[in-house]
Amino acid sequence: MEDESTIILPFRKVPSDEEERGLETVDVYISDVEPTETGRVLKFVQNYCPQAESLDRVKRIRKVTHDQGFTLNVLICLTSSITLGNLKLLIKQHDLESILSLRIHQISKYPPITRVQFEEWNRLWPINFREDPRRDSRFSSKEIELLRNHMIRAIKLADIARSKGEVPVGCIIVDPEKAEIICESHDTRTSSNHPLRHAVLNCINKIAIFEKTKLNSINDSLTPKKRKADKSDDQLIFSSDTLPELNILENRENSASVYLCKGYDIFVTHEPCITCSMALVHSRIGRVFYGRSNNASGGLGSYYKIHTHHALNHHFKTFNGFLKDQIEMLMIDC
Amino acid sequence: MNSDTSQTITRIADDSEMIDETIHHKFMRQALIIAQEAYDSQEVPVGCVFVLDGETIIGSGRNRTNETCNGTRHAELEAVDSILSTNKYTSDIFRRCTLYVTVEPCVMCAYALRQLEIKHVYYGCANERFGGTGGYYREESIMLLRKFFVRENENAPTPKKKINRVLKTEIKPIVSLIPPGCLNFCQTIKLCT
Repeated sequence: MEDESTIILPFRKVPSDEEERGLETVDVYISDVEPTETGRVLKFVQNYCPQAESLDRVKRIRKVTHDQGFTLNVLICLTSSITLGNLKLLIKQHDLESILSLRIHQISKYPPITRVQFEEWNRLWPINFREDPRRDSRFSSKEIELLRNHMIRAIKLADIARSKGEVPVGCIIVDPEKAEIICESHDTRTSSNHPLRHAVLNCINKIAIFEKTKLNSINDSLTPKKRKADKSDDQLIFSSDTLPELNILENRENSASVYLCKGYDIFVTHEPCITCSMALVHSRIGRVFYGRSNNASGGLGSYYKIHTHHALNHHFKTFNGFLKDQIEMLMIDC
Repeated sequence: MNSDTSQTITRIADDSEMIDETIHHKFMRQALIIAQEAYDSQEVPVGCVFVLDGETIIGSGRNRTNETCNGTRHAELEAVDSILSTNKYTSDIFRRCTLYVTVEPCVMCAYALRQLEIKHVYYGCANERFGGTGGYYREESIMLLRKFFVRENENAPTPKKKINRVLKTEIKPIVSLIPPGCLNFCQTIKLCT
């Protein structure tokens, strides 16, 4: 078995701002506490201390080991929840003055999303962390080889576009389940005199036309036709030439997930512009792989990170830098 | 469905008599009629018109995402394609065009309009939870959208059951004092679907 964690990826995941976020802290009151008193203190914290916001992301108690053994620290609450004076008063009311000695400490302001964040932020104050398996982006070397071939094809399409005097951007859309190329396209904005005929939009449009044709043929085949040979016969039957279409219908039902570009991968030589990035959201694309970043108007990492935006109803993983050198070497630039 | 259509159109006509009619109302009314057509065809009810030099409508479009199996066939892109497909105009015509659209353009369309260097955009209601800055025939645009979204979408892989949804008729007043409609693309591109 090969170890997938040691494979060096030929592309890099474009992280969301939350995944890239560095450590930000908020102040909390903490206190040393005797192990025998922790139950009583936690009850006090839980029942009587005001909590401005949930602190589920961190642990309530930490253990600090040293030469003489260990000390327990308990997290009481955020400093924004109560003033020091009022908290001291509250502690006095509950007869805990001799047990608690308050001091201010920092904890992470946000729950970590990645393991790297967790490992760094956890040093400050222990954190509760469960890694989301959907964020995992591991690839087998066999899969990488397949992906590479798709990207090489996209570069080829960009080269074809250039030879036709078009803006040299190429893309292909692939069904990763079946390892099947669904559609290929390149930029045609020059020849069509249409500033929006970008490679990605062209590809999405082509797929839609393909799907529409398929759908129409199914609908046609389901419309009962009169038998031509026997006009006197009023009985409605399906014409015999509809059988292959019925097979398509069956296939379609088998692959019931064919909805727009749902679950498909797209390989594009250049980072999609903002329009194309949003078109990919509207098309429910599965994953995006691109080579060269587009600092002027890139929507998947450069200018915006549309694929991770909270306000949107669909998100997808995006990987960049794939065969970037090759794209640059060919001087494919748009 | 038919009585629905006539009602909406009648109401638009009534409004035109009551309010101080400007050229913007006139064009937005046309956009609304096209939005209604989308609604009647089971599409997301958004309609638009492109107006050349503030005078003539040179193209219109409405949402056709269901019909075309294409999630990007929004009203604006439909209209742009129909204008360019006539071969009567080249793409620099959009520099002289004003767009009237019933709903604030999404990010895809907003950036497309920017690439086309459109002169001005006027919209009916904002996109984000129907709130925002308001515009021309905002209430009509909102009601049309609400009517659409209480229906079920048969084209979705697993259509949501919406049997318990009720059509709300209350429309909150506009809080913002920003003058209606004029969207400056150089300043903002809002992210919303």
